[in-house]
Amino acid sequence: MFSSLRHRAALLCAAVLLQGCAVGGSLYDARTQFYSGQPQAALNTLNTEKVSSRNRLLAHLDHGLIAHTAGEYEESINAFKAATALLNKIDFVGIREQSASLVTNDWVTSYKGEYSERLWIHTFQMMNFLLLNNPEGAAVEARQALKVYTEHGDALKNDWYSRTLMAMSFAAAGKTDSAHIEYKKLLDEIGRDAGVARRAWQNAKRLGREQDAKEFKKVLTSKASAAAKKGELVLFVQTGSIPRKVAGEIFLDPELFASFPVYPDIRRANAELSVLADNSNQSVDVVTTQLVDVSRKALAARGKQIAAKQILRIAAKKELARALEKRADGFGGLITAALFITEQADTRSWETLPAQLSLVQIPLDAGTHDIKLIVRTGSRQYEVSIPKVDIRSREITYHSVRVGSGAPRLVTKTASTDQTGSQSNW
Amino acid sequence: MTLFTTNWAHPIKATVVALAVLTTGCAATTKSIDPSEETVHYDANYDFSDKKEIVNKLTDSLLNTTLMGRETGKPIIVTYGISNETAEHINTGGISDDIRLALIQAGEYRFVNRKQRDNTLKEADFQYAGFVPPEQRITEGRQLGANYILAGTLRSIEKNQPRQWRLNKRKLVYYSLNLEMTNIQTGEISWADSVEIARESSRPIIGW
Repeated sequence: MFSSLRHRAALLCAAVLLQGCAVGGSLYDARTQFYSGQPQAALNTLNTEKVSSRNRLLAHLDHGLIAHTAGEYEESINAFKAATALLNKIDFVGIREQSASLVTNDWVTSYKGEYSERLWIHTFQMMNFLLLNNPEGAAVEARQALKVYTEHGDALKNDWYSRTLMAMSFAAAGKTDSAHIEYKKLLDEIGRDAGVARRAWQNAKRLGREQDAKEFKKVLTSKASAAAKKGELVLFVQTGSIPRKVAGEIFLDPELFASFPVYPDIRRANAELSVLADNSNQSVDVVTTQLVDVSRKALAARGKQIAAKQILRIAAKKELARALEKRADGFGGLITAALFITEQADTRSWETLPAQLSLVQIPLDAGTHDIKLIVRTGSRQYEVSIPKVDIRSREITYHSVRVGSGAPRLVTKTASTDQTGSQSNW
Repeated sequence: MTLFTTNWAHPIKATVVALAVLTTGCAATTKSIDPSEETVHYDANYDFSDKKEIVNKLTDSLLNTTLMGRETGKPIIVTYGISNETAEHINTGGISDDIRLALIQAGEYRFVNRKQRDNTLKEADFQYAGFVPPEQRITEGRQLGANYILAGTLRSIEKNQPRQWRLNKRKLVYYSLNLEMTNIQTGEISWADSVEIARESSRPIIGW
């Protein structure tokens, strides 16, 4: 009887420990609502229901992104500000959480975000502030993004989208010299147009940096008009959804294995984007980042840290198992099993992110235009209509669109946007 | 039962007393702080104590400038705000509003309200649209013309301690606010001053 009670206790213990290995409750509900095209319902869930403290950062990140997609830019700004404040608050090694994670797994710790996710907080904030016509706010976020980039540049350098947006935010706030530095670094590293050269060239000309302007012009392949009197529409296009982290496992011996997070190696072609203005094809410049490529590098940059923790955990569990196996009542064996069942990779991530971010730049004559964005992803095609877009001479009008998985029916507040095309999990 | 009520050395009672003593520090508290008396910094970032310091120094400087002696009447100023070039979302409107308030209260300068310009025009249009009797209408063309533009820039430089073995993470933040007054007629910068604040903060890398 006593032994049976102990067995039950051990099983219960394992069950309780494993319960933490999932993002459940309101976060799961909000994500499901978001991916079924109901961002307002998702926001409602996040605003009214509780999220466990260890997943609070994920809740802020999802909240910020969903609010952005719903066109609630102020709400998005506040959610991302809360995420940044939380990151500053939990930026230390918690002895309690780390000790618990040594005999269980990293799910018991507070999620602190990958370096790439920390950068993308500021990427979305830059978009939010530009969409709210607050270039000074966008420049503040660009400086914060630059800090993250300076610290983890090797892992993040292929995020051309965020880096171009940093330069654009500086330029929008009148900091053309800071914008020039970022454009120059970017073009030096890419070595080709990549949708940035026209902006970099125009900015260098404005600044009187003739030598740099000549260098930028050498790589310029854009067919988009660079006429100074024109206005411009910049579309922030988010397509698809980022793949989720999965558990990679290495068996060290039949009873011992290590589980660690990895991004699945699924090759995806860039979504192709084209734009019609008043039913006429437009030459556009597009800067694109496949988020999973950057995420994979950011995760790899934490590889040594993850491996060191894994070795410590395996050693701790093995030592504990050895001590328990000496017990004759069989209870030790059960606890040992529980220890190894709880060996689960922490696969938490910011799952509402898109698969691809594209900065579509369309020079247009001043006036009101009906815009149609066409997105091709493999065999699927989406068409997004953005009617009555006002373009002013020498000014940039911004618009944000999410296409495919996670796309709501109504994308922005300023212009009614409807999507046609099959919804999928692309 | 007798033992429980009379013997203070009883382990349960001792635990209850210990918990009561320990948790008295856990109660939520709120206290008012007088911003004119106290300087409070929780970390290295900009806060209301910094704003107070910046406003006081620049107001004193503006009130003691020789510019006053060169003017026949009170200088008329229009404020164009303080641009934020830091990496923090700082409401610099609060700084320029407080400087303007202090100068108005000192009575040495006059200000035109740029933010209300559109509203004053709307109000004037309304009065002349036939809703207001002629004798109660304002006289057009009597607004003050500013002599000077007051504008500035808030900048910051932040340095984090390099990565190394340590128990604390140190951060150094430097703020500078430059304020200048530009003569609208001549374009000359007639007055300029700055306030600098440098602060170091340290926070533990390891905690509970």
